[in-house]
Amino acid sequence: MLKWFGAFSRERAARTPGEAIRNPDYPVDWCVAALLYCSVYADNAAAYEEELEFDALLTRARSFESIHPDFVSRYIANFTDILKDHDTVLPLADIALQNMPADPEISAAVFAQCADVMFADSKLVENELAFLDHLAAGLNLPEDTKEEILQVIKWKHAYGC
Amino acid sequence: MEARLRLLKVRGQAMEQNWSAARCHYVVYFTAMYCDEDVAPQEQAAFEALVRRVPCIRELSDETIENFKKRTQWACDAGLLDEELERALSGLNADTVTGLSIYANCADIIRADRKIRSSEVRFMDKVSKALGIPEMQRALIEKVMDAKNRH
Repeated sequence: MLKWFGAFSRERAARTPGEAIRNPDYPVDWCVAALLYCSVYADNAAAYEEELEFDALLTRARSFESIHPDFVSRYIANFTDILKDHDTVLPLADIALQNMPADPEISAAVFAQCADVMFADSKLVENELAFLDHLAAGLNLPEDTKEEILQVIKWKHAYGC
Repeated sequence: MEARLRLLKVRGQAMEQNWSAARCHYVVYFTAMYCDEDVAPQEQAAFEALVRRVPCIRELSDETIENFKKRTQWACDAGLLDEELERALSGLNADTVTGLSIYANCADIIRADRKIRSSEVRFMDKVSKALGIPEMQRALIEKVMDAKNRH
C-alpha cells in the first residue's frame, strides 16, 4: 500500500484542490464523507472506536446537516463500490481530494475530523500516518496547522484511564 | 419537606463512597453536554460516542453505565449537577495526560452544536482550573476544536 503514496504525492504536488476541476457528481458532503470513510479504513481494518467516531461525525458534522440520512447510506455503498477492486483507500481519497473546495477552514476542519477518527482507537499505525501526510498535502494544509491539530487530537485520545 | 429529607439522605449516602475514575469521567462529560441546559442532538451524539470509547467506561457492563446515567440525570433534575461536577473533578486525581484529554473532549462536546453559551464558558473555566490546564495548552485545544467543529 505504501508504494502508492510516492507516485500519488508527486502527481498531487503539481496542483492544488482549488486548481482541480471539480466534478458536480461529487459534492462537498460526498467528499467529506469519503475522506472520513478512508480514515476508518486507512489501516485496512475498522476498529470499533473508529466506526463509532465515524458514525457520530456523520450525525453531527455541519457538512451533513442538509442531507437526508438515506444519502449517507448511498454514499457508503458508492465508496464500497469504488474500492471493491483495490487494497488501499487511495483511489477514493484521490477523487474526494480533487473535488474538495480550496477553503482553508474546511480543509482544517476535515483534517481534524479525519485525525479524530484515526486516533479513536488510541493507536496510529504506519499506514494511518502515511495517510494523514497524504491528506494534509491533498488539502494544502500548512505544516504548523497540521502539527497543531495532530497534537490536540493526540491529547484528546490519551484518556489516561 | 419529605422530598428534601430524601434528597439529603441520598446525597449523604452518595458522599460516603469514593467514585470510580469511570464515574468521574462520565459525570464531567455529561455536564459538558448538559451545562447549557439545552442538549443539542449533535452534543448528544458526541457524548454518546465518547462514553462508549473511553477505556475505563467501555469496560463496564451496560447495566453499570445505565446506572451512571440514571444517577447523573437524577442529580441534574434535582439541580445538583454543579455539586456532582465538583465531586467528579476532585475525584479524578488527574495527571497532565488525563487533564488534557478530558479538557479536549469537553471542548469538543460543547462545540458540537457550533454555539458556545456563557454557561459553557464557565464550565470550561471550572474544568480547566480543577485540572490545572496551562493557558497555552488550553488556547491550543480551543483553537483546534473550534476548527474541527466549524464544518
